[in-house]
Amino acid sequence: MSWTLAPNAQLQWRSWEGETVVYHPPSGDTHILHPLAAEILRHLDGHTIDIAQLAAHVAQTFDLQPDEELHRQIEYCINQFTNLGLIVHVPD
Amino acid sequence: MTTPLKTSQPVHLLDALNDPSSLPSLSGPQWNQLIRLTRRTKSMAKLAHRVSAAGLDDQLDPRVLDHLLASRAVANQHRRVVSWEADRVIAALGDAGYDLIFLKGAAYVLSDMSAGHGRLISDVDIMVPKVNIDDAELRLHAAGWVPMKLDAYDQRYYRQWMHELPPLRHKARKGVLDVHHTILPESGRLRPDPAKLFAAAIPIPGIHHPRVKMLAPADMILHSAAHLFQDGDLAGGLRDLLDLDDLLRAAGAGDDEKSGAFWRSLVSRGKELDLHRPLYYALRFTSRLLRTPVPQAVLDESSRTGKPMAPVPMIMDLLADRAFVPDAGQGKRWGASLARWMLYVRSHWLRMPPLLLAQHLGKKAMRRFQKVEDETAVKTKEEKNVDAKRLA
Amino acid sequence: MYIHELSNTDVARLLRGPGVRARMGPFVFGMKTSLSQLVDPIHLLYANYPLEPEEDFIDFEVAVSPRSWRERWLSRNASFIIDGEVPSFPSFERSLALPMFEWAVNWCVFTRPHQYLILHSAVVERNGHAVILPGQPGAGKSTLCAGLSLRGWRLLSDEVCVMRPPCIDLIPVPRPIGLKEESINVIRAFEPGVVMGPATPGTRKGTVAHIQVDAKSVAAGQVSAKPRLIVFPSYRAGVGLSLEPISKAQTLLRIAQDAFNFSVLGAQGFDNLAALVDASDCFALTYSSMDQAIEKLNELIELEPTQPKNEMTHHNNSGPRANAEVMA
Repeated sequence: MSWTLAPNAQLQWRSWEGETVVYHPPSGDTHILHPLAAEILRHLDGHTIDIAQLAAHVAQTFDLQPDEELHRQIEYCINQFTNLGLIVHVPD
Repeated sequence: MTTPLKTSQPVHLLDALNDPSSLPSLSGPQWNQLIRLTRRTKSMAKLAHRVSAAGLDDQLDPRVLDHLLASRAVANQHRRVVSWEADRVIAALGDAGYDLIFLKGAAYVLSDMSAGHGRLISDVDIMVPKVNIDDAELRLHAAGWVPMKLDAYDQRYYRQWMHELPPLRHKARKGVLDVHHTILPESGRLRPDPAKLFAAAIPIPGIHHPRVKMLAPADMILHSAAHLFQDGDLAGGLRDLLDLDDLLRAAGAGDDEKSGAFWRSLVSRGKELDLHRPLYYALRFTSRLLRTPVPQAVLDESSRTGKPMAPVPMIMDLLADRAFVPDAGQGKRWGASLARWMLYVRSHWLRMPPLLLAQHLGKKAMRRFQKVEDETAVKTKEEKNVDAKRLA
Repeated sequence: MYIHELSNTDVARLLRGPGVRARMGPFVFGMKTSLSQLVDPIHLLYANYPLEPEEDFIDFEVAVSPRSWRERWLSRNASFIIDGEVPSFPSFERSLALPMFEWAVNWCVFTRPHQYLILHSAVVERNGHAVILPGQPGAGKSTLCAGLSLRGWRLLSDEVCVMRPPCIDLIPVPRPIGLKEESINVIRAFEPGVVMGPATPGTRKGTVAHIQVDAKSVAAGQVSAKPRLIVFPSYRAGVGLSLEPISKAQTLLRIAQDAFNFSVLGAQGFDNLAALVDASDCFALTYSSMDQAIEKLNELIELEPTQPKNEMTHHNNSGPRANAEVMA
């Protein structure tokens, strides 16, 4: 299962001292994201990837171990983002 | 309006809507009166849209224009909200394997029709085949839509008498979703066959999904007409009439084969769907009050099939005129209220067996006085909480 | 002609008739009432406003009167009549007419002019620097706002921070400052010469009184101000003064949630609010002495901005952009 940014998401990003805010015009939602979630969402813009690939990318970006815990956190983010309509899953 | 008004003369709202070109010459007091009237009839956004479409913004006093701009902002918000709700509905039902038809305001907005511009839309209405309605309810529930809190009487009213699902509300977003399997209540006197509506349904421009559709142009008009002249709530009377005006103009525009075919088949389609009577009223009132260019041949044909026995047409004319446009002045509002009440009673008589009518109207009257929601901006949950605190 | 130049009889006649018309910032209000108890207070609170000419277009007409024969003679109530309509608010006791009248005027500004982005904050200005004071009810923003306005700061508004997107200049809507309960005594003690309307007990917020808008703030009602600080005030008896920086991201979220029409304006509202937050230093101010709080704010506006600007704007499919120019 792969994911990518929803078409026409038109995300608006702002960031101050490591805290990221993103606005999603179609739903009118404003989100404040911690760095991990922000990086996941940012990386899905322009890429269609699965959890393993996301884990590898995030691990490298933040210098973390791509272990089960990281996978779980990423899965959680993916679910949240899907429910919010920010990302869509792409059938293989 | 072709002759300019003297600055003290009251402005007729329908004239302003039909032809905004005289608006730049209105005086301050005339604008006061017109703006108030548009607020009362919930037609400011539509006026604002027509002013903009006519390129008249720059000719208006900036403070007057600001009111129109504000109403455009609200209308645009409504469009965004409806578009997003529809997006979420498609996400929930798009892969279910049956047709999903968007009705009324949601269809107008999704297809970018003129009827969807300058309009305030509160709910999303969809139609699915009756055999799939339970499945639809389950999928929607899984996606967060739950029946609105209604008392036992209302639940019974919907499920048993109207054979419909009660309105659903999304847990997080609070948007209201009405799921239908037909366009008029099964308990009513008029029963258009839903299978015919599904068969004629067309794709929505811009949405590339094989199951997602809207009604054919003639059916959309018949639905709107039935809604206006059948349904109980006439508070949106002028707004619904404006919808019909937009829909008729859009479908009948141009001198080509497509519009010709539309006009030729409109009345017979109305007969086919048992909606020729509401169509008669719709064509009569839009052409008279909003100068909708309905061909005379079509008016005649509609009159032959749909016109009720006299003296009903004359009484309906008197009632409807007063119901759609309240008096310009502040006095004599009782006239409009009485007219609206009588039309309301007639609508409900057509829908429910007479014995139940009195009971239902009694309950509805009570609830009307408890209703506080203003049909203005769509509010988020947070804003509503804040509002509640501020009103305290 | 200023409203204070009218006789009481004239004011009464206007209120019963065509209305007393006053311009509050960008809006011309028509004020009407058939209640004689409101004549003196309105005459006082709006004394420093010029009277607007009668042929003008009125933005909002607010009347507080019994809505019908029945209400007038068979009850002790009155209703709001806004732009000629009785909106779906309940009637109220006539004794509460003044706070209700002020509330109704505010309501028009809170709920209608969506050509503006309207935040829920007080705004004051000094030496060309504006301070925005957001605050939950009860945190003390109105009291602090009143105190500042009595110590040389210009009042833009005690309730609304108004901008016209895409600009972040702050637009005044000078109106009588509403005070509740103890704040009334605090301000009277703070400035014995303060001109206040009558105190009305028994509202849902307790006793309410209003401060007359000073002539300087009314006269500057068409002069906008540049934002400099966003300060969340919090009055707490007995504690010392403390000033904590608040993250801009958190500030943006808090202000957006409490704003009147953030969701109406969509992406444009977000852009504007982000630009406002970007241009302002953001703090939480806890205080027990109003003098100290005012002194602190006097200091702060004379300093250079210290907090960082936005590090990123990134649009869908277009890659990261360099720091956007802040529109100031």
